[in-house]
Amino acid sequence: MKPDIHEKIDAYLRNALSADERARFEQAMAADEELAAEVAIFQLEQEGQELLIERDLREKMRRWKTDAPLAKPPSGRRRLWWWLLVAGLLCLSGMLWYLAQPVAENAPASPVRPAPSTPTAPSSPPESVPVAKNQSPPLRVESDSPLRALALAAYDRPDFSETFRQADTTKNTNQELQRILEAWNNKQPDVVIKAAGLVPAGSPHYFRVQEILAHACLESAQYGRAQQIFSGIAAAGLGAASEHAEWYGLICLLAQSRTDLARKQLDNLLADEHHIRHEDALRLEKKWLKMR
Amino acid sequence: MHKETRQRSDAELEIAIRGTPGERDAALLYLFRSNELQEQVRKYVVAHGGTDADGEDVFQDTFVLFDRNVRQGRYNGQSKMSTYFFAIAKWHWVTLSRKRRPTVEIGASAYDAAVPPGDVALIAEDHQSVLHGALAQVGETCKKLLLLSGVAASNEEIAREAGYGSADMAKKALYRCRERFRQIIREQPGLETLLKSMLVR
Repeated sequence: MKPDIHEKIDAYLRNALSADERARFEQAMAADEELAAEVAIFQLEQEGQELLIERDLREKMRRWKTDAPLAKPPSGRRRLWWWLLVAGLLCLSGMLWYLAQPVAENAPASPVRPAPSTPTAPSSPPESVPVAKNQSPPLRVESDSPLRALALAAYDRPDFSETFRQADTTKNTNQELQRILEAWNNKQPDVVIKAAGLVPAGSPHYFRVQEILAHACLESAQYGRAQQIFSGIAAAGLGAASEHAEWYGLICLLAQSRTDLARKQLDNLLADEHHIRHEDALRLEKKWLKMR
Repeated sequence: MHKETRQRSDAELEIAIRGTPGERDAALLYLFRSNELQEQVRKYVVAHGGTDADGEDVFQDTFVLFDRNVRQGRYNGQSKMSTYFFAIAKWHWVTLSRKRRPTVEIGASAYDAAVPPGDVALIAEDHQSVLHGALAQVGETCKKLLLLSGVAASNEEIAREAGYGSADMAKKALYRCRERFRQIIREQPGLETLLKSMLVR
């Protein structure tokens, strides 16, 4: 196609054509399948741009949420109320702390849900996700949602030790990875999330970091964000790593009680006998049916 | 709206969201930190069968839709910006609720005339799966160029933000990048099926 046609398509999609021009262009599309297909490709390009803007905005919202806004210092009468509120909160938190003591070990992770972000796939395909089944017990999180309980019972914590061994810790970039892996091994998802956010997209370990980040989000009950990252990895077509990501994405969907999407995803895994998580999918299907 | 800084008018915010990357970020941050908007959306979602977490998700999805609509000139200033924002949030929650529980009847009052249905449509999932694959292959520099041109940055701004020597060089780089991105889209598995469904519509 010629560049002038491209300009016309751009103008059409931006609603920059006059009513007459628009009608003529639509007639031309109806008569020319090749032109219609080209317009569809341009539309997808535009949607791709929107996805980038969305990712960027969601990442910003995540940052804005954690950077608390500066509050004006209270004055006069309001100051008294302010101090009374602080004193009340202190008393309340003291009581809560006292009450929480005997059950602190089993307390659920705080369901913080910052804006999801999606990863960028690596320039080179990674090794498959080293999942060590049955090495760690499944997440034990008290939940009033039966679907979430089902999802968390099906979750198996991956063992990234192999990745850890492969990392050459003499280089700075690998030290980042080492820190993240150590935090993961020490079951400190909050530390993983913080450290992973500092790894630039150009890092050779970006993909692995995104993968660990997704698991850390899942363990911190940030299911929406975890699911977005897993879905990015799954869509990148990276063989075993993508298939594992499809499974973990399904767990995140279930944990959010997004039943329609979870059902669709589970059906996909069940339909593919050669899928790396096919057996897990069969087990999950049985439990889900029993629950219903 | 936001209490900590001076009040900004709707017209001022609209111009800023469509302005330079710096102006845009400042305006969006101002709106994001509006406790009134967040609370209004959260309360609405909780009052209509959702959880606090749903409320937060709906607020953030609404924020994405609102930004897109303002950039694309769909917000016409006929209603207050906060009214328009809340109308998108209501529509979005209705859409999500229908997806989750298709059999539940939703009354006409749940829909808000302040916003047409086209303004609340997120990118379809089948499109997203093709696009995630394409974006993963396109390279960081090209992604930056696409992002900047998507928020209507001028060639001068693109040159400054992406480190090109001149606006002309930035323009040429963007042209090449767009061509490359479209080529990658054409090579995505599943594109043929997607195109068929797009052309039928």
